[in-house]
Amino acid sequence: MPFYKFGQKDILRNRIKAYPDNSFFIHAGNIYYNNVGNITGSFTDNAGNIPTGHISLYEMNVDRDFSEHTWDPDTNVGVKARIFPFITKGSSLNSFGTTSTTAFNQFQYGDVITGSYPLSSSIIRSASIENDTRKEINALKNTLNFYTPVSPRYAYSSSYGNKSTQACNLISVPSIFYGSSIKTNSVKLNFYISGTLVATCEDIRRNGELIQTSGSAYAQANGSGSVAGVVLYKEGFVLLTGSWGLTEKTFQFGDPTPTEGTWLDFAIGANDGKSPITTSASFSMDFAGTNYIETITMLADAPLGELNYSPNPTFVKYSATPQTASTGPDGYFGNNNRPLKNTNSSSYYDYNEAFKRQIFISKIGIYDENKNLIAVANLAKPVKKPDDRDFTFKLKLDI
Amino acid sequence: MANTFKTFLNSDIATTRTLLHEAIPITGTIVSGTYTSDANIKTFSHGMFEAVYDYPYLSSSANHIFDVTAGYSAKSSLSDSANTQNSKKINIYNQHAQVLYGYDSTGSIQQFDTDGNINAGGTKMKECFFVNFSRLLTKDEVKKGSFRFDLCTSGSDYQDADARSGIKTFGDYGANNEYKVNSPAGEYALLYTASADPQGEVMGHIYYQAGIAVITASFFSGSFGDPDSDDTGGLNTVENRLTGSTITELANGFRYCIDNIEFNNTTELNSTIYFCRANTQDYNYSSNPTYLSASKIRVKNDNPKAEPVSYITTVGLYSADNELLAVAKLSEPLKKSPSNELTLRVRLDY
Repeated sequence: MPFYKFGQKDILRNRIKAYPDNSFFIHAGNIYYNNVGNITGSFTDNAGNIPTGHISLYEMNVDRDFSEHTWDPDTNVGVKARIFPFITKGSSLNSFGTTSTTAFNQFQYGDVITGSYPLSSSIIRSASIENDTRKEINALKNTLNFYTPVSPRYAYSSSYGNKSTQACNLISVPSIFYGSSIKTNSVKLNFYISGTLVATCEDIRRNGELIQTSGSAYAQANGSGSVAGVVLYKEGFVLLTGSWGLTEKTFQFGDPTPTEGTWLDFAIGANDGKSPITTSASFSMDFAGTNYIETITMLADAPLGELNYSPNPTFVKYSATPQTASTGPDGYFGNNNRPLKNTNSSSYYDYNEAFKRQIFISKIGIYDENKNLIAVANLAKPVKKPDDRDFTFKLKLDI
Repeated sequence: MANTFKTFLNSDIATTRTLLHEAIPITGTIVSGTYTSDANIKTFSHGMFEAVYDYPYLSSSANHIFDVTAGYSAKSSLSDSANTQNSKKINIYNQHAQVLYGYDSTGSIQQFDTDGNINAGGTKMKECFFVNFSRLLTKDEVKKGSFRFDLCTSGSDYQDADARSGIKTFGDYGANNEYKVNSPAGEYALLYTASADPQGEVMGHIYYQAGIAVITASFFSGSFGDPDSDDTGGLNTVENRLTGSTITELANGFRYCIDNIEFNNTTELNSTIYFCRANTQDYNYSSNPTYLSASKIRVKNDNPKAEPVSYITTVGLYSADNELLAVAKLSEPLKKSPSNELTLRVRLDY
């Protein structure tokens, strides 16, 4: 098997930038991701065992009835009906991220610490009324101020408002949904009442400002072109501060007393524990993520006049007499009288085509500098390579 | 930005390996009969194996759990060119045998040895069923001593409630302490029908790193076959099926007999622990711009006799060329002064 070394121009490194679309729809305390509801299974009503609007990290325990799981790690007795991770507490002090330090310290060395699947993730809304405590927003103070050169609307405290005291509506988007960052000019928030679009805001200026672009006559009269909030693209946050009225009528937005709907009420019910919420209100949040895929493209040459032999046993003619090779201290010598099999087919009936060297390339191996096989590229079908032809195979590897 | 570097001594660095496990139960109903029209079973036009999913495989929620296939050795008494898919069954056996058992000194593929002692000769498993578990489930390897397989010794007619019978449990009992290492694919153990000594009959092998269970066809003592097959006559022993049925039909019959599969997997977590020691005279000063106010150490509160104090928030690990390689953040700053000493335990997992 011959080895060829890749030249400097034979290896190309690229990065593919993909923008996956994401859509969240929030209604009456339920979230729907990409318009997918519960999938009914044969054993459970919810095959994924995660709430709607969530994404399952490993997609373990699909369509399993958790009520059948009775196994107890302390006694090692019971039925295991679901997949779960476990670790034995040892001197390396490894544990699960979901096990608190206090709980971990209570385990003895040798005890089994269990986790649970599925692990899931979704958007979380955290709203603060005026002068309310707001640890999440306070934690973003430096980040918000960092983007002030992009837009003064990011400033934690400025003439546009003081985010430490003003009413705010923060929507956190976990990075599993968007990858490296949310794509600029892709965020669109829609506020609906009874299925009718009341107001829309978008980041049309590509600077993170969410501007009310359309809506009902009432909403537009109050806030057309106004900045309703900002987007932290890399961090995955939408911070809304727009407090103008969007709905002429009043509704319950987490408070028994009905009020006009504002952008501060956007996405109410998205894992925020708020109630009561009017069933008339619904919200959608659309955005595109940014996903980088590193790729290596390798150009493997099969040169003219080379690669004309195969170590495949069927490459030589079959012989009933064993073809012995001589081995000894001088080396290994194959039988040089063994004829090659003629694989050239003729277009004519009952005619044997004259012998011509050719091989069929079926796979290409990639080796490291120590000749360790590190990757194999299989061809969809073997490629015939006669002596008088050369080929270049393009191998692409996504990292 | 570090202003003081300390070189690690050999005694400051320790390596550990932690084993993380997952319990994987696979109930028989998932692999046979739960989903209408076997929507979680993927068959292929080549007919050499079928893939089993935990949910209808057209759904994005489905996970591949294992492939199942069957084959026999060319040296098996069942091997005959007149058999259905004879060469495919031989190829399947050879493919598994050469990967899991390798070659003998003459260059021939070795057959699966029942007791794993190749040199001693003995009984060979010439007709086998192969269960290739997904890497998603087996991870780095199957945990030794945890593999249990509940399989019916008889089962053929899907419509007949009594068709499935004789459930036997076999597993790698005792493999925590005793397993074989004479396979090119890694470690493996024998699957016994009983845990007590004597451990009963050997029903196959479990290859831990490869995640493959090899089960001898002789396990099936009664009727056997594809539950959807019309043939319920007298020729429904496993031997008849091995010669007269396709691999897909054999796999269907095997799935029908599965009552439960259970094992634990293993993921190795390798860690290096760096003990970063801040002795009494070390790290009592900070290069943070806010550490000084009007050329005075801010935390001394204008008391020149107060001892210098710093707050450690971050530990940086540097290469021999002083290139920053890794950063460890503390959950809260630690007060450091000449009156105390700290040892920070930095663990790097990979």
